[in-house]
Amino acid sequence: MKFSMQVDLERTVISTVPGEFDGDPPVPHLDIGLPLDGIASADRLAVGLALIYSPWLSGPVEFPEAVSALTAQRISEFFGERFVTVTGIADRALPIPRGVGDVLVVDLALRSRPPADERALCLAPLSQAQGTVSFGQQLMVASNVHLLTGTPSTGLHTLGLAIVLAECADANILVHPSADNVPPALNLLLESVGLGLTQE
Amino acid sequence: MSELVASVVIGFKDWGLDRLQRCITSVQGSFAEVTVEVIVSDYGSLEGEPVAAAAAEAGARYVRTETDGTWSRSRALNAGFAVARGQQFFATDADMIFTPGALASVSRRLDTNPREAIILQCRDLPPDVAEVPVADTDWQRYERAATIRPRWGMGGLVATHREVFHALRGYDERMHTYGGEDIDFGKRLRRFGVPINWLDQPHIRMYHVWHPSSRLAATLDEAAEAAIGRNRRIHVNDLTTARNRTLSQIAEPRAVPLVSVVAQADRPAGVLRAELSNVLGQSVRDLEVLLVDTGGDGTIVAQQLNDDRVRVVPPPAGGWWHALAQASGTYSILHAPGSWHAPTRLETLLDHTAQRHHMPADAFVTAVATDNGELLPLPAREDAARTSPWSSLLLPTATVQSLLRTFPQGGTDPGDLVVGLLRNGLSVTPVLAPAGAQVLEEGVVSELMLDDMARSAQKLAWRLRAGNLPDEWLFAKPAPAAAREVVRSAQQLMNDQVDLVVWSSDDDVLESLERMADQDTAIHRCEVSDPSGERLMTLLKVAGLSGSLGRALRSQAASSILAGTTRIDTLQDDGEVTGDSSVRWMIEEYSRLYGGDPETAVWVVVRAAEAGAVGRAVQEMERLADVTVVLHRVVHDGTGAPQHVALGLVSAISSSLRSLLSVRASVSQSASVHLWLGQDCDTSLQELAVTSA
Repeated sequence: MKFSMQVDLERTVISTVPGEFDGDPPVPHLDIGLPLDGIASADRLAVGLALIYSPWLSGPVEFPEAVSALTAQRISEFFGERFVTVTGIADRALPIPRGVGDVLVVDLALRSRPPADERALCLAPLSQAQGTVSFGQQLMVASNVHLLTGTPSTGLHTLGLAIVLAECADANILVHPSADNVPPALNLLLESVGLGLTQE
Repeated sequence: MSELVASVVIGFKDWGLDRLQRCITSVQGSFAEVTVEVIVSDYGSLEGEPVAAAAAEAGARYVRTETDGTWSRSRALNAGFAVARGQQFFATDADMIFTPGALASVSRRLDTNPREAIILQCRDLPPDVAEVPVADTDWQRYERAATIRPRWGMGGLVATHREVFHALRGYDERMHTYGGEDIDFGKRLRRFGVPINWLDQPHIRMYHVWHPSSRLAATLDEAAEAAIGRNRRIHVNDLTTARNRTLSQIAEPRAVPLVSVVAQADRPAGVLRAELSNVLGQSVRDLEVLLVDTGGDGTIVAQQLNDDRVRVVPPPAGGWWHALAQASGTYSILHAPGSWHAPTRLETLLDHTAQRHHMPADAFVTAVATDNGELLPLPAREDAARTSPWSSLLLPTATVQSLLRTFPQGGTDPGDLVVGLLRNGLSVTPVLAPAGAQVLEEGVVSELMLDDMARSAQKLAWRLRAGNLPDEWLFAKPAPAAAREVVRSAQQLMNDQVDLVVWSSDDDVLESLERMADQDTAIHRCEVSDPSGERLMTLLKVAGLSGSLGRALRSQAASSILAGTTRIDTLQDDGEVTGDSSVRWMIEEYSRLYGGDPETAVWVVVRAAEAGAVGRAVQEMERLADVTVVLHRVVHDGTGAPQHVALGLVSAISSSLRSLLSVRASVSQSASVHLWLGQDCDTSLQELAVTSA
């Protein structure tokens, strides 16, 4: 799968071109209501996309930007027996952003917004909102990631988007329902991009 | 583990019984503790018995398909999977052998990954490796001697889940002779959203036993080479995902219907039943109808349709919304009230499916049904969007269901669904073929209503434009000639009547038929008994059944026909009487059907070369109180020239002459008008010509 990214003043569109062994995702692009051109971490973008598109990835994968060798290795290990290899490895060290504390990841398709004083990254479906709203301790970003749920849904699509947006939310640890039962390879994957995962 | 986990199908045709048995044995050993059935699908071996015996001896099931000699791996595999009972489907060939435990690993992988297909790397054995029994195989020697194939295409083994195989409708049965089946299947797996995993680990090995190249042999044969080219064109050019959409060897019922049709039971049962029987009569039979019981008649209509493809959905808030969430078809479509679908509508839409995010959309022609049953197309305004655009779309069910989960309060406006899908990245592929007619009753149509409909359709266009989303598909209209044709077809569908004779000892079929009948249908029932008085079968003569119900009945009774208990003969279909049938024969038949007693039935008979003359007679007969049944049929004489015949059944012989004269006065001189007085009358009186004088 080959990913490419277009950013304008209001949103980011990440397009996909499936390769020889990938399954076709339900929609051809990920539409995020936030311009991501200021993001420092290509690794987090790659890890987030790998999780969101994990139901369909197989074979070579090329992310919008080159990723570090460790992250590429951890992505391959995450897919286990399904052969996934990352092309486009950076020839220099990539920075790992450092956030501050826990941020609750809230899927607004499943539950309502928490109280305004709670640190949260709220993921809104495009049927409810568009763009980005930042208020108090919270950042609400609209996207179409809800259409990229696998069968059956594992929650990895919202976790993946939260990883992409973690730097915007200044997160160090993501509080996400999927933390209940994650394979060790997922924790290692998050570690490679300086993030932790815990349950609410 | 008691439940059967895996089914392995080996397509076979005269390729050596030892080789076949060796493959079966290696497959069984390779699954180790995983429960598996091996099915040998014999597609046209010269002699079936030795193959069946060899399969049985090795512990495999055997199915045979008689052929004309042409080999089709696709059809062979589909025939095998049609009887498969496992939850995982493995397709392989008789020239493959597997290391112990290899297929158990594949099975476990599938078990933990519900949406994946697995392919194994093929290794070719050289010609000098002897084909020894599996138990005596030196696997290490095989590993050293075998050469690895380039990783390209597919072949050897494809494994996936039962429901995925069914959603794709198996291998493409158009393919035959050699090559392309697995590549095509793999491409369709991917389009369905299933990634392909080349599982390659040291303990998972699949070896191809050497034999002279089938591909090379095929290139020496011109016909075979042409078939290979044709197979290639199919997998290169056909971008659809599900195949064998109207005809397949895969047994019914399917685990996953191809299309879910969502309709609301919010109108009179008779109207709804006619429309749904039209849906059930589609050329694509692999569908489910979800009937939202908003008006309370849903259960009654479903019982009358008596088709296990119809499911009644209770009506909580959200009607069609709720039904879509329960749809199990790969695709879904919303049925707009008053829609008459062309019989191949779903087939055409499915022909235009490609990538998952493309939604094919066709267009309906809006028409008004006049009081005398005529359909008049409404002149479409140039700037008017189509009236029920949401019913034009073939929706990808899984994606729609993901979207519906993001609407916190559910919804009532199907326009919200369309906007939501397009906003989330789906696109519309316009299909130029008109879908059918959306029919409005003349009594309820007013300028105000038409304005409302136009505004409602425009509203969606405005919403799409406001979101910078494509709306041009809303304004695509069929060409005027195509629109007229589709209205004519809808008229035919609405008026379409079928007369059948059903022979059956199956009470279910008979009861089903009697339930389908309405006030326009006449049924004449005879019991056929043996000399001791025991009932052998029932003969039902049915006249006036709607065409779509007639088609549905034929499909429904197909299995009974095969079982030899039911036979359906068509007396007249679509108003046409073909062959050397005479008017006399026809009247005798109708006397039995409608008159109850053919000895005393009295008919007014009008014959003319032009439909118009007979049409006027029909109108006149319908006006007469003493004429209880009016029929219009077309008879082809020995030269094939059509003759129009109107028949009116007169309730009492005393009023027959008055009826005759009334009809005579309504038609032109060129039409002949007769009175048929029943068989017990004097022969000379049976046909009494009445001249205009």
